[in-house]
Amino acid sequence: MKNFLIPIIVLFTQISIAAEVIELPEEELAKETVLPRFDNAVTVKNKNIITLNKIETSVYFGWNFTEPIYNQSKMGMNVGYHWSEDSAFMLNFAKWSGGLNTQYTDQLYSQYKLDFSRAPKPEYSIYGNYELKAYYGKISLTKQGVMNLHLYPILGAGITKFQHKNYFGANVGVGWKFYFSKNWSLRTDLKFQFSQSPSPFLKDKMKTTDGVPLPSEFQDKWTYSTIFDLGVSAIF
Amino acid sequence: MKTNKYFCPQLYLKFALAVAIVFPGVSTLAVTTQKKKTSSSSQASSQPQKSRKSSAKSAEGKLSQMASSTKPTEKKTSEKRTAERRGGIEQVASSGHQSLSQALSHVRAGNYQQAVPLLFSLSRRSDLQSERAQIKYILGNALLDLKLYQVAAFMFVDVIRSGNAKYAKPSVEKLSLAADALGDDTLLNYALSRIQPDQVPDAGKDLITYRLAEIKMRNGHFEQAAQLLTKVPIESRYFFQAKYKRGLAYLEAGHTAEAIKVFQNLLAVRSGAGVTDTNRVIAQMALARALYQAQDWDGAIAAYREIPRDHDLWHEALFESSWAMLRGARFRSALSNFHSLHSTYYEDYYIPESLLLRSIVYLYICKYDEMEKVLNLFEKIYAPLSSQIAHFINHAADPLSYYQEVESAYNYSIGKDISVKTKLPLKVSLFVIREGDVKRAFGYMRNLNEEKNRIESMPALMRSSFGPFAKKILSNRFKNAKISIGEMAKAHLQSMRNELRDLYEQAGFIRYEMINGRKEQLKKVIAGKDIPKTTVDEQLDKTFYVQNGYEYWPFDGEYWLDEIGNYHYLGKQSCE
Repeated sequence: MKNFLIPIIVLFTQISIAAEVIELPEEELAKETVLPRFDNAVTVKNKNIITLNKIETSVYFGWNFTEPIYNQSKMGMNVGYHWSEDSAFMLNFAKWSGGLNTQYTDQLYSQYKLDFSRAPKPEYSIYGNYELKAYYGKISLTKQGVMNLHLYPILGAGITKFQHKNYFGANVGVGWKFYFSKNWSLRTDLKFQFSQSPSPFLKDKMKTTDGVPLPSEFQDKWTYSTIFDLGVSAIF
Repeated sequence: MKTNKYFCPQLYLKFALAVAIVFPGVSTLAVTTQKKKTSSSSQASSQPQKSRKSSAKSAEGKLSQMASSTKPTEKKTSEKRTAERRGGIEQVASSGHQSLSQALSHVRAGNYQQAVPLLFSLSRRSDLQSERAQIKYILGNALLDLKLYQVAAFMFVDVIRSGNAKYAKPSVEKLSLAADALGDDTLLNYALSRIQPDQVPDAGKDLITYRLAEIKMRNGHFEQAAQLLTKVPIESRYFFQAKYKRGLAYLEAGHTAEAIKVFQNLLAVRSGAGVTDTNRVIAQMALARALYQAQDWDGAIAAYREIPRDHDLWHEALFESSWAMLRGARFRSALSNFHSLHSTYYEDYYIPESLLLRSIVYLYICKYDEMEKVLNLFEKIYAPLSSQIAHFINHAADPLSYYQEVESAYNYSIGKDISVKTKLPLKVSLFVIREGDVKRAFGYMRNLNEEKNRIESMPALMRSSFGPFAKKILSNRFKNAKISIGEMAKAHLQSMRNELRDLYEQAGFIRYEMINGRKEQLKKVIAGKDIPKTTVDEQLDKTFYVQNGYEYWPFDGEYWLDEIGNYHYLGKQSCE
């Protein structure tokens, strides 16, 4: 991160002779870590990324890492508005992929003949999130170029629609945006979601030999999920 | 006005009348002294010295004797009058001397808050006319102890003006202490104008010598000033300032080598202090300037580089070192500095000269396109500024309107009001408030405000007639200080207007040189001499720095606080 480094800032400029290794006098290189004093000093001026009064949209691919039964993946989009340089509100829409998390369900099926396709599955979810743009910085990944970044805590609530019913939930997390340009960025959100959902385990109703249960027979329960979204975001 | 419990009823009317007569005099003095205010960059401040107590005690002693021995004298006088009248006078005199004894016992016990109202009322009594100078002198000392410097100064001024042979001289010394604590040049000059160098009293001698030398410097007598400043002893709290001023006096007198020695010595004295110790930094800055004056460009650059970044003087050092770099033909280094100086962090700074300096550096390295951009920027920023200053000067006659402008900027600078709306551009007002005399005058107003708060926190004073008296003095001083700051601001604005006019002329000459240079370059192109146009970022080898623990952050348009001062220009000259 920028703040942990002692930078040499180099200016690009037109020159009219052949380029070569330019030797800067040793005594001119940065040796102080203290900051100059200004009246009403701010950390950065003439920011590259301005979000005030701008709309942001993004498309993403996401995963619920802790989901054992249903398919972990989803696709979705964010649409939101930045009403200040510090705050934004985003609507996060997700379409959950159908099917099951076969890594576990296939094993359960082969060993115990448990058929989790009988359980009601998540279809869509929509969450409203407040994003606090707590940190604006820049990072040099290659030591040859610079990317701006935003880091923002996320707090929100919403609903997830299953086949038979809608379930409420809340999430909290943190997001990063790495800007390729003033408008485009790579957006990554990591959220911890606490929500209601139907428990896919229903006694005496899950084996292929058992009668097919109604979705309403599955009991509701509160669960924690860890969700990661990765996408591309545009701000305009 | 509230009566004091020590007052006898028949004196109350007389006292009220006395105060009413005295107040106009106070106001007049405030106006006339303020008008004489001159600028000073001195940073000295002082606290009342211990010697005050001894002189106050000697005055007290004499008054005590008088208080106890006046009864027989009064009796002798009264024998010539009627019995009825004699009785009345005796009653008045007796009550006056009782109050005086009581006041003096309060002073002796250090109960200044009780003593001051009593002494104040006594200083107004006609039957104590002959003791008035002494009473005021003691009152002034008590007020000094209460840190009510402005009001104390008024007492001492009264004593000096009374011409009392015995108390006028010590009052001058006390006045200089009070004025020093207040940071008020007017009072200080008033006090010092009544002292001859050979008559400087022992107590406070260092302060008075130092201030006298300052006056010599202001009058252009640099050799004499330097001589006088050598008399400030090393144990004095004014030693550092005196030595610093001595260096400046040498510089002004053209004795650069002596000045460098003085500043080097001063730095050695402060070597144990913290890196950002203001005295140490000031000495470092002075050394850099002296080396520049001695045309030791590399020495000056090295000295400027020692100014710590987190000190207010660093900004000046950055700009001044650019001059040294230009003179030392270190163009790349100068341009590196300019990238910081012309960043948005300095958008509120008035530094027109730096833009012209940058354009001159570009001229030296034949970068005419860059040069034109900088000259255009100069005109874009400073042309409207110049006309705004001229317009303001032409339309504002009242010093208070100038004061309002700089007050807004001052509030902005201390973060009190960041939505400041002024008629003058903010960078102009901010420049004015950073000037030494204006800064010092604002400091004086801060001291006045603290004194006002101090008086209001002393109920014994506020309940007495002294409270309104002191507040009225302070109110007058506030008003006059504002007028004075307004006049200073006007003078600075006029000088800025003239400076901009000169710089515009210089910009014209520089532009002419640019056109001429372009013409020569074009001739070479026509003659078939190839001038390549590759960019630094395409072929520059940055690995040397990356491999040696540094990070390479290409500038991409935004400015970060921790990058200011760390920019490096990597262009090279385009001249053949």
